[in-house]
Amino acid sequence: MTKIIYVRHGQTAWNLEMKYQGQTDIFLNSLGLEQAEAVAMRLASEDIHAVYASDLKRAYATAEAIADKHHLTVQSEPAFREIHFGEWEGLTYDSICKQWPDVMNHLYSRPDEISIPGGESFRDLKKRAVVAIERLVKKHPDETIVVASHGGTIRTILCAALNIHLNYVWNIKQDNTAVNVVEYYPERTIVCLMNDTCHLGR
Amino acid sequence: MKAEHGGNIYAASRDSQQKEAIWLDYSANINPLGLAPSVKAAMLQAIDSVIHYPDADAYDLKRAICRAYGISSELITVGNGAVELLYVLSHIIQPHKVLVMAPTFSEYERAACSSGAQVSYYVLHAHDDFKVKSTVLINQIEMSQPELVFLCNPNNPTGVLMPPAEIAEVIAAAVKIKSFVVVDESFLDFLHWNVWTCQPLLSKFPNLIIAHSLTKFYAIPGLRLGFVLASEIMTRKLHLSKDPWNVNSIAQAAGVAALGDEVYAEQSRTYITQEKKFFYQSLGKISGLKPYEPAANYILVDIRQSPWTASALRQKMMEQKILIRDCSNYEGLGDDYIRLAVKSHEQNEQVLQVLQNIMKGELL
Repeated sequence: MTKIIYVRHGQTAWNLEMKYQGQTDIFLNSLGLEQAEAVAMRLASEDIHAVYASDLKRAYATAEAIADKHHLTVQSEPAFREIHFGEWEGLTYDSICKQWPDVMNHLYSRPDEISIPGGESFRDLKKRAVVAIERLVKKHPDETIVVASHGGTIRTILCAALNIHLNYVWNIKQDNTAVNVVEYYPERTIVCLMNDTCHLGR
Repeated sequence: MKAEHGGNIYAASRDSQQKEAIWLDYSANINPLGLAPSVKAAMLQAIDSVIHYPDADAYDLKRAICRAYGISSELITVGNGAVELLYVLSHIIQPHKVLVMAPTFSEYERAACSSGAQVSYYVLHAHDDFKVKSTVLINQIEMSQPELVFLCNPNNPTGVLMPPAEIAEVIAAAVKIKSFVVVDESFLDFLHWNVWTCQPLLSKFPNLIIAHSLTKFYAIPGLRLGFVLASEIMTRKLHLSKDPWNVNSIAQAAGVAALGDEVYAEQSRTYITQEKKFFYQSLGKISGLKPYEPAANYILVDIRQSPWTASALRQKMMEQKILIRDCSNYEGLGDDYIRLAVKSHEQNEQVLQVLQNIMKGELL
């Protein structure tokens, strides 16, 4: 069995401003750095063999805080990047609604069926992320690894693990530095924990 | 026991026989942004009110604390500095045995001794980077059976931060032997307080007491202001045991203004976050110095690899009119450690230059 601990990145300025980040490379703000330290402390007692992260700074830095406690180096993996939000990146929900009212209508109700202008579909995201996960599961039999990634990507990976249609991707909550644990057995996948932020106090 | 603290600029300038005052106090961990204009204005405005007694209920101040920290006022006791309330607490609890970390802020021990307690230590080790191991600490609590345990988070002078989940385990162990636990969160405002505070544990553990100084973060150590959060029963006892007018009118007004100034708070946190990283990394590049990674606005530095003892280095820095904290009187630390505050970027650069020169022997 391979145990994968998925961790969403800490807070960024754009999270606070409610801007869609996608693959725009925004770094953690000071709260985000502390959240990363808090989740790292929380995972310090786990027996972790490897730490992987999206190559976007906010996820990579979160992973670095975790890896430091285990004297590991973070291995960067572009397949764990956030969904590419194309022309929406840097915009808020309201301003996207104004420009693309039709697509936005469906972003939360039928996310699997929309195409984001200039960006990826959730199906594309699932394909690249799941291929990478399968590779890591093969590479780390009977080991525990950490994957630091993003809200959209982790939701998609959890949908895959639970075998839920991607139209329900937003039914899963992902807070900053949320911890999710999935066990991959040869015959089945078990989701043990989702969106746990008990390390953040309140 | 001789109590020595940082920030004693008066004694320092007397001892150094220099007429001019110390110009850089690196021995006290005070917010480098200094007194907020809003706080100064509130203090000046409050001056005329000193012809009256202070509000013994500290109504406005408690409301400001409620708003800022999301806690109900029945759990708040305000103090003339947080330290005042530690002494009051010790007198209420009357512990026979008290457990403190070593090294840590010396007033816990002094407060305990003032009510006749015997003090034992949970010794933190340099080879563990002074990390607190909750399992070891719990063992020691079970062995020494104290009635009161003091924790400092992040610890002073080591700068080590404990996650609240681990503190919860310690408190749960203390409950079993009916011991109180004081968690001093006086430096948490320099971080994002709500990530690290033990406050959510208050409703679960009646033996938990949280101490919180407002003097460091709001740069008002000369004014004295702090508070304690505890169970309703303990809060009532604190109110019965303390001087009803322990917090003067000017300090109450300053506290209300300070806690309402979110811009100052955010600017301070952002500044310290950047500057502590810069100062820590730069100190690490000076040969002979081994800084410990800081959580808040002070850095413990191991000087074993340098030709200096802490007291000699302190003396040498005084000649440059820089006051540093010689840590040799901390229980558990020898003559090999100093503590430096994180101050403004320009001042930190100056101090780095002076330390660089001293370590290279150029000022010998």
